[in-house]
Amino acid sequence: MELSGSVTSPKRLHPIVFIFLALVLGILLLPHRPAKAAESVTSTTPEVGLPLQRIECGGGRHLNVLTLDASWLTDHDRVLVVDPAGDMDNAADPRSAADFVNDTWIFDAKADGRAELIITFATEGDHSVAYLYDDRDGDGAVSYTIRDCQVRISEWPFWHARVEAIGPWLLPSGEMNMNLTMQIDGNFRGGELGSVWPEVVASRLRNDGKPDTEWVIRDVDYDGIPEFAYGRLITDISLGFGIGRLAVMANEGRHRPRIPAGYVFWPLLGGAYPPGNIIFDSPPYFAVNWDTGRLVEFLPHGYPFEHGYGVNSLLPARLGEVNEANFENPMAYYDLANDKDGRPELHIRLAHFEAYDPFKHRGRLRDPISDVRFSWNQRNSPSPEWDYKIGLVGLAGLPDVARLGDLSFRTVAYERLPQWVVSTPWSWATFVAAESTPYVGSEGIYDLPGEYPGAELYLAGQNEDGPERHYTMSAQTPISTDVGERRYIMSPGLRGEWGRLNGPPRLYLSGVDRKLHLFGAKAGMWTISENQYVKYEDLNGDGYIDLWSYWALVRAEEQVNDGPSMLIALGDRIVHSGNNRVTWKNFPTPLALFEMPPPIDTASWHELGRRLEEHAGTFQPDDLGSALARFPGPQTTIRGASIRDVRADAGGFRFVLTLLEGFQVAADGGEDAWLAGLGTGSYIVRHEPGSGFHVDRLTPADVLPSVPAAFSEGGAIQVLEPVQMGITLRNSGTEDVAAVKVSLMVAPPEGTWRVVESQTVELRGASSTSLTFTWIPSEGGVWRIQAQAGERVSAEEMVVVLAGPSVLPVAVLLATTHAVLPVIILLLLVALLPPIILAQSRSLRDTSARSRGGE
Amino acid sequence: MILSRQDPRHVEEALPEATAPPTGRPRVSAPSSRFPLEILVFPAGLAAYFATRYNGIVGQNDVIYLVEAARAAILSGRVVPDDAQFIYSSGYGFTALLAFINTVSGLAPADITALLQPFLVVIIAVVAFALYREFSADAWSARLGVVLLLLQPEFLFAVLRGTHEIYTRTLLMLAFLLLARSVRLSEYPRLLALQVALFYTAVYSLISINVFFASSYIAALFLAVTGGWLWARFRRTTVRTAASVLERLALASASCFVLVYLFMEHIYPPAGQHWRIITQTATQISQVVFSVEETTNPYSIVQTLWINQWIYLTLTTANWLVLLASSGLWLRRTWRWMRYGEGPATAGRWLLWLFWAAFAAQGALAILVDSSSDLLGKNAQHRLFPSFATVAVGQIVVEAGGWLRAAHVRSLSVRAATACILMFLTVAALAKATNEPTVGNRWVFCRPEELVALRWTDSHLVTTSLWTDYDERLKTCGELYLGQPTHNNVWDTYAVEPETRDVLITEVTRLRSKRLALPLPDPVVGLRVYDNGTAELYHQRSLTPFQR
Repeated sequence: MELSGSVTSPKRLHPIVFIFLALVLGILLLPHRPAKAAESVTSTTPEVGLPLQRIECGGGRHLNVLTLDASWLTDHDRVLVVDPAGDMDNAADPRSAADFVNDTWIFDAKADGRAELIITFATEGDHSVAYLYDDRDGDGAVSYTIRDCQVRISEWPFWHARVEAIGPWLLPSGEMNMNLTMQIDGNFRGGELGSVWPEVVASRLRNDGKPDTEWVIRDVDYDGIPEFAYGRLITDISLGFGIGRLAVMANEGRHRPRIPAGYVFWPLLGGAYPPGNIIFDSPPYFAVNWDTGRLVEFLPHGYPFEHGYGVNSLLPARLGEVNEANFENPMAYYDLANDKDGRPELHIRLAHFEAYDPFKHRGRLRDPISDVRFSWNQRNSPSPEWDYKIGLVGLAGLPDVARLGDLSFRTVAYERLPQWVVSTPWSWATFVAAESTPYVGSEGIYDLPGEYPGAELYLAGQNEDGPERHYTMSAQTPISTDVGERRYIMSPGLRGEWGRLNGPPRLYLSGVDRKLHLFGAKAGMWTISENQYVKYEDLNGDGYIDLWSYWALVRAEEQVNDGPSMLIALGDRIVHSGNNRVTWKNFPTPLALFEMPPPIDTASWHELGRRLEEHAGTFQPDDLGSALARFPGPQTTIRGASIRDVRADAGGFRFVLTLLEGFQVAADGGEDAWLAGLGTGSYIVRHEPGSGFHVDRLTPADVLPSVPAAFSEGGAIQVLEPVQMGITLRNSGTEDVAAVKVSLMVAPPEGTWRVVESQTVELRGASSTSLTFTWIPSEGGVWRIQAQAGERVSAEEMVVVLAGPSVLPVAVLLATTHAVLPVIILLLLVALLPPIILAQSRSLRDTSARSRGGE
Repeated sequence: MILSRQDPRHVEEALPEATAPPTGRPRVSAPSSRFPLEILVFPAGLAAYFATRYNGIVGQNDVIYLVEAARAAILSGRVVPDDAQFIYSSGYGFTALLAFINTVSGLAPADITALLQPFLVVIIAVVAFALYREFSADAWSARLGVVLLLLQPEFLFAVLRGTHEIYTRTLLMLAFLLLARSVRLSEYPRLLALQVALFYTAVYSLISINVFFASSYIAALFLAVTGGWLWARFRRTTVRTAASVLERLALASASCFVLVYLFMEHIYPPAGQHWRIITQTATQISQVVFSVEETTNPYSIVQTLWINQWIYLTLTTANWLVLLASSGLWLRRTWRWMRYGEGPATAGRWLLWLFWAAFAAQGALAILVDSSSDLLGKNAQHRLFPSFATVAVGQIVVEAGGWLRAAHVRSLSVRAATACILMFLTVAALAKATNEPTVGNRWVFCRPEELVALRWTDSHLVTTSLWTDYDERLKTCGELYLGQPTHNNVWDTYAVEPETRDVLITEVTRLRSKRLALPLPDPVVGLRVYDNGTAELYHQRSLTPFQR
C-alpha cells in the first residue's frame, strides 16, 4: 500500500486566510469613540476686522456676525456673536442687539482665530437656555464652521454643559436670576460634586449626550437671594464607589450674593470674586481655563455658611421621592450671636448612616448610626474659631424630611437640630475645649472625634471593642485615638475628655478647676505643651471629675519628679499632694458650680457666656495646690509625705500615704488626730464622709492564683472541644496591683508547659477576682494544668482529656447516606464492566479472522 | 511504504483517504458495525451512582452561580435581568437551558443539576465513541476509548458535578469530530458544507455556554495551526492535503475567534470581561516565562484535600496512565516520523497529533499561570485536563488500540487483567469524582437535617453572621437548595469572623473537626438555642450593652 502522497509540504496559505486574519485584527483595533462630524470645506469663515458682517446663505436667508473686541484674558481678545435671526438688521447699534436669547457667542481669547468656548443661547418655552461647548480633543480650541446660516460645532457631537433659567437671565431689578438648572455631560467639578472623584469614576462620566450631573439653584420669591441649591449625580455609578452623589446647600440666613462682576459678557461666564467667607457670597458661575479652552468648574464661592446647612451624601437621590441621605446630613451652621458678621457661632456636623446603609460595613448594620460634632464659638471671636466641641455617638435615627423644591430627603430639620442633639440620648461622648490656642477652622474642632474606627460594629453588637481601648490614657501617653491612617493626638492647648453617657449631653463648671466639663466624663487630658499635661479622672463614677494630676516630662517617657502633683476632691475633702507635701481641707459639695446643656440658640449661648464669666477663676495646672486657697477653713499639712494609688472606696476614697524620714505635721486647726503614733513608712488611708480618716499599715501586694478548674458539660473534657477554665486570683496584701499578667498553662501527656492564654487584670488590695480562659485540648490523655500570676504559680492539677471516638470510615459513610442504593449501583457497575468491554471478544476474533482471510 | 498485513497497525492506519482517492459515493463513517448500545450502560451506571450517593444533596461551589443565574432568569424571564445579582458572565446558554428544562419539567434548577444532568453523560459517551471511531476506524478501540475517558477522575468530576461542563465537553468533542470529518470529506462539497455548518453551530453553542472554554478550544486550534505550519515547513508531510488542512484549521480558528469577539462585544456584553482575563493571561505567561520569581505552589493543596497523598495518587491512577501512555505514544510517533522520514498517514491522525501537542502546551502554560498568579483561580490546569484527556485517550486509541485489541483477542489472561484494572479504575474514579469522604477531606454533601437547621436559622435570625463549617460545604448546599440567605444574614465559612456570634454545629461538623484535627468554634460554649437532633445552633452570650 503506497502511503506517500504526491503533495508535500504546503507551499503557502491561501490569500483569503490572510484577508480573514486582517479582518479580525481590524475588528479588534476599532476605536470606541463617538464619530466626529466632518469639517466642511465649503464653510464660511467671518472676516476679521469687520465689526458687522452680513453672510448670505442662499434662498434669501442671511445671518449677521458681530465682532466684539474685548480684554478678559489679554489686552486683545475677541468675541464673534452670530445672529441667525437678523436681530441686528434693524438695530441702531448692532452691539445692543447682541443678546443671550438666540445668538451664538464664539469666544476667542488672545484673538488668535481659535475659539476656546462657544455658547449657543436659545429660548425654550419661557426658559432661557445656554449650551456650552469647550475643547474636547485636547487641541485647546473648539472646532466649528458657519454653514447654511448656522454655526455648526464639529468639535464634539454633544454639548458639555447646559444652563437653563426659569425666565430671563436677569431679573427686572438687574440682578441675576437665581432660578437656574445646570447640567454637565461629562466630568468637571461642580461645587461639592466631583471635587474628589477617582479616575475610574471620572472615566465613566463621558460626554456622550446624557447629562451626568445636575445642579439646581432656586430663588423661589425672585428677590435675588437663592434659598437653596443642590447637585445630584445622575449617572448610575456602582455603590461600590464611595463618592458624593448628592450635595445640598440651604441658605437659611438668606445671604445675598454679590452683584456679578468681572464676568465675560454673560453674567454666568467667568467672574472676579474675592475669596468668599461664606457660601452664597458669590453668584454661581462657570470658571474657564482660557489657555486650554476647557470649562473648569461651576460653583458659587465661599465656605462655610453663617446660617444655613449643607448635605454631602454618598447615596443617589431621585426627584419626587423621599431619599435617604447619608454621611454629612446635615452640616449645619448657626448665627447664635445673631450679628450677621459672616461667621457662625455654632456648627453641627451630623454624620449619619441609616440601618443597612451600603456604605457601613457592607450594609449589614441593623441600626442607624449617628456621629455628631457639635462645636461652638463662645467668645464670638472675630476669626472663625471654636472654643468647645462635643462629639456624640449613638443609635439615633433621622426624624424629619426636608423638602427643597422637587428634592426630598430624610434628615433632622435645620431649625430643631440643636435641640435634637442636646435632647437625644447618646451612647458616649467626647468633649474638647480650646484652652490656650485658638482653634481655627471651618468645620469645628476635629480633635478627639466621637467615632473611632470600628465604633459602628461595637454599636451594632458585632464586636466587643468599646471606646475604652480607643480613648486610652496613661501617665505617659496623651489621650488619643486612631482615625484611619492618621493618629489624632490632642494638640497642645486643647483639653479633652470622654465618657459613656447613655443620655443627653450636659455640661458643668467644676468648682475645683473652674473649667467647663462634660458630665459623665470618665477621664480627660489637658495638653498644656508637648511635655506638660494635666490628667484628670472621675474616680467614683458620679459624673464629676474628682482627680487632677500634673505631669511634666523631660522626654516623652520620662517624668521629672518622683510622682505627679495631685489634687483630689472626693467626699467632703480636697487633698493636694506634691513636692513631698500633703495638704487637705474640708470641701463644700457639690463639685459643680452650675450645669446646663450645650448652647443651642442665642439665649442659651448668652446664658452660658454669662455664667462662665460669673464663675471665672484661674487654675494653674503646674501649681495644683493653689486651688485649695479658694476654699475656706482650716487645713492640715504633712511635710515629708506623698500619696499614690488614689481610688474611690465605699463612698469615700483611699490612698497610700508614704511618710518620709523626719516628716512633720502642721495642723493649722485641721484634723490630725489619726496621724498620732504613725512613724516613717507607708500606710493605707481611707476616708469616709462623716467619719474622717482611718489608717492601716500597708502590706505589699501578694497575688496568688488558684488551680484552674474546668467548667465542662457533664464533667468530661473532649479533644478539640473548647472548655472554659476558671482561675481565681487573691491579693492577700493591702496594696493594689495596677496590672498583673495571669496565664493558663498546660502540659500535654508527653510534653512541656505552654501558655494557652494570658490576661492582664487590675487587682485591688485584700480582694479577689475570677477569670475565665478557653482551652481546646489537642490530644487525649492526662494533661497537667496550672495558673501563673506574675511570678507566682498555682499548684498543678491533672486533667483527663477524652480522645473521643475516632472517625472510622463507617461513621463517615453513615453520615453521608442512609441508602444502600448507591452501593448496589456500584457493585452492578463493577460487575457489568467486564462484559461490556470483553463481550466483543468473539466478534473481534471473527473480525481478525476475516482480516487474515482477506489478505 | 508498504505495511505488512500481519502488522496489527494496518487496521489503525488503513484509513480511507490514505488508501485510495475517493470514487463514487463517499463513505462518511468509519468502517464499523452497529453502535454498541451496551456501552451506554456504563455512563448511565456512573451517573446513577453519582446521583444517589448523597441522596441528591451535593453542594458544589461552581454550581451555585449557575443555579442562581438560572433562578434569576426564570423569575425575570430574561437571561440578563436588569437588577440581578447573579449574571453568568461566561455565557447565556447554560442559563437558558436550565430555565427551559425548568419550564417544561417543573424541576428546580438545583435538582436539574444534581439529579438529571449527570445522566447526560450518556450523550458524552455517544459522541466520544463517534470521535474515537473517526480517528481509529475501529469500534472496539473506540469503545475502549469511551471507557478510558470516563474513567478519568478529573473528566468524570467535571461532567457529573452539575455545571455547564456536561454540555461544553460534549460540544467540544462534537466540534472536534466535525472538524476531523470535514477534513476527511474535503473533496465532497455537499458533505463538507454540512460538516462545516454543523461545526460552527457546535462552536457557537460552545461559546454561548462558556466563552472561556470556547476560547481554550480556539487557542488549541491556533496552536495546532502554528504547530502544523512549523512541521510542514521543516519536515515533509505525507498527507496529500496538508495545505488544505492547515487552511481549514486557520480559517476555522480565525472564524471562531471572530465569533468569540462578536459574542463578547456585541451578542452578550457581560462576557466582555473575559477579554481582560485573556489579555492578562498572556501577560502573565510572558512574565512567568521571563522571570524567576518564586511563588506559592498551587498544587500543595492536594495534601490537605485527601487523607494522604498516596490516596490521591491511587485515585488518580487513570489520569497518570493516560498522561504517561499518551505522552509515550505521541513521542514514539513523533520519533518515527522524524527518524524514518515518515509522515502522518492520514489527515485525521495528523490532526490528532497536532491537537495533543496543542492541549499539552496549554496544560504546561496553565501550570505556569497557576504557579504565578490567581488570575485563573489557581486551577487552570484542572480545568484544562479534561480537554487534554479527550485527545490523549484518542492518541492511545489510535496508536495502541490495534495492539491492545490483538492482545485481547489472543489471551484470556490479558482480558482478565484488563477487566480487573478497569474495575479498580472505576471505583477509584468514582471515589475521586464524588470526593468520597472516607478518603477525602473536602466533603461536598450535606444532610437534610442540616438544611432544615439552615432554613430555621435564616427565618429566625436577622443580620446575623452564622458560622457553618470549616469550608463552604454547608454554605453551598444552603445556597443551592434554599437560596441565598435572607434577612441580611450571612453564612460564615472557614475561620470564624470576629462579628460571628452564632455557630451551627452538626454531626458532620463534629466528624470533620476530628478528621481535620480542627477545634470546634469557640462560641460553641454559648447558648444552645436550636437543636434538631443532628444540628445545633449556639448563640454567644452578650458581652456588651449593644449585643443581643
